[in-house]
Amino acid sequence: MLYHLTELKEVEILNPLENGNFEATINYCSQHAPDFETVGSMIKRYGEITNGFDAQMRQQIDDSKLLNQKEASTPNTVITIRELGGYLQNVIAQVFLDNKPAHEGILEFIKNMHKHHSDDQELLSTDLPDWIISNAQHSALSQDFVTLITSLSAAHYYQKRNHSQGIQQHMEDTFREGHCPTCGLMPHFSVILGEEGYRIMECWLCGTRWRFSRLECPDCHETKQDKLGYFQTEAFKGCRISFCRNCEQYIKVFDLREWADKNPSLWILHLATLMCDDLAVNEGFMPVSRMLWHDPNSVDTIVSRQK
Amino acid sequence: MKLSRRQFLKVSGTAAATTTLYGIGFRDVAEGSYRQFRLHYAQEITTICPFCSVGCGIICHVRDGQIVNTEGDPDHPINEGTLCSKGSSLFNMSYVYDEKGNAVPNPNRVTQVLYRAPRSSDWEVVDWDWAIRTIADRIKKTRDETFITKNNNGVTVNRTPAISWLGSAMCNNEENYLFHKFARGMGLVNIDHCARL
Repeated sequence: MLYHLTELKEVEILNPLENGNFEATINYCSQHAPDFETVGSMIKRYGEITNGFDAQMRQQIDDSKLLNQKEASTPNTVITIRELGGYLQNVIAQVFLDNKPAHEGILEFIKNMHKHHSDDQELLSTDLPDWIISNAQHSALSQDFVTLITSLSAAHYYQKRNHSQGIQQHMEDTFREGHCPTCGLMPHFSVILGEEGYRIMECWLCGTRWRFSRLECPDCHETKQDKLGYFQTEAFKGCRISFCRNCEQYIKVFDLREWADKNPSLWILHLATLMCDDLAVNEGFMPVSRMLWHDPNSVDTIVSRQK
Repeated sequence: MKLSRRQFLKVSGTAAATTTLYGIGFRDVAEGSYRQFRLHYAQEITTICPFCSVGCGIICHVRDGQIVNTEGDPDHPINEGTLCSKGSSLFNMSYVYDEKGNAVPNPNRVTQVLYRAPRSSDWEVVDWDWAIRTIADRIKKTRDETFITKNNNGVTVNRTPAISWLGSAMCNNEENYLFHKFARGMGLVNIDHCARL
């Protein structure tokens, strides 16, 4: 039986981690991904907390839904500092309630964020990666932790708000560019699915999925095959780092065709394979999405060399 | 400057309440201990299936100059990732499996020019230069011997009925055009092609 792209369309999303089959992906990762226990329990806890938060947020949005009706067809691509700070406080801080240094670090981070930015300052979706990197510089948290909490909360907030305005995570059938058709961001991960082996990109922020060529760099559109390549490790064979030697950037590709489930949650797979990001940066490649999990000062890549 | 093992996921500057992924359970990632694993670099190279005339696109996964896997090319307009059973087993053109299931180079693959002389029963290995030269000589000889300038009615035809010419489905449009042009130039009329699905 051939795999149809439309299968991906019917999803009711609670949070970005559930853009796909949550339980099945957790099970798969705990079998195949190394050292997944703590990460898995963190993800489960995140799921529990967001369920309550989502109900609360749905209530709020329902009241204001009438006001937003005019804008319903176009996604809102900005997020304010107030929204992001509130989300970090109400959800992410709760996830790390048991871990005292992490919990205090997040509260400190929120305080710092409000100190450096006004509450009404709007962040464009395409500015988010750079904003995340620059924010970690004057915070007590490390770059990787800041990237984790800010990207996850921004993604959840975007998806939830779009959902309330009638814009769901969806599959773009005809779009064939490297960037996200909805919010314009570069993707961080993609997946190879089905018997045909299409590469399907997923925007880490808004959850939109679209098809993209297997043998092309999404950023510089390099198609020369001797410039492109990939590597994978024995630690997690389903995760490839697909790189381009022209722009020295990489994108994660999950090849899960041997796994039966057709709709994996890419965010969970991404969190389970952060060591591949480490290895890729260690090999000298930067992420296409600019979602950097390292301290940019200590990374020697083409981007830092240009500065 | 490359990251050292310990530098990964550490905060810049001096911060007291540092929280890293290391602190929340990403232990092995934070210690960089996955760097001991070997990285398997590979390339994806596209090619065309050599079997029939449909010309399906195929991606070959190549590691250190050796094919490790083949699969249908999802971005190819003809097959969009699907392959027939012959095409799917294309990997076995270069590798076959021994009794233990290990892939070994296919011993039946023809990798050099073989020549069987007229009325001989054995194949002998010859080099390319000799083979091309001999083919050219024999085509020229046969053509010159059988060339017809005028047919029985006195009409100029300039043709040879003694040679037939077969095009290839593996070649693209332009190559087949050149083949055809060359065959017509020699005066051949028996021109055929295997693209007949």
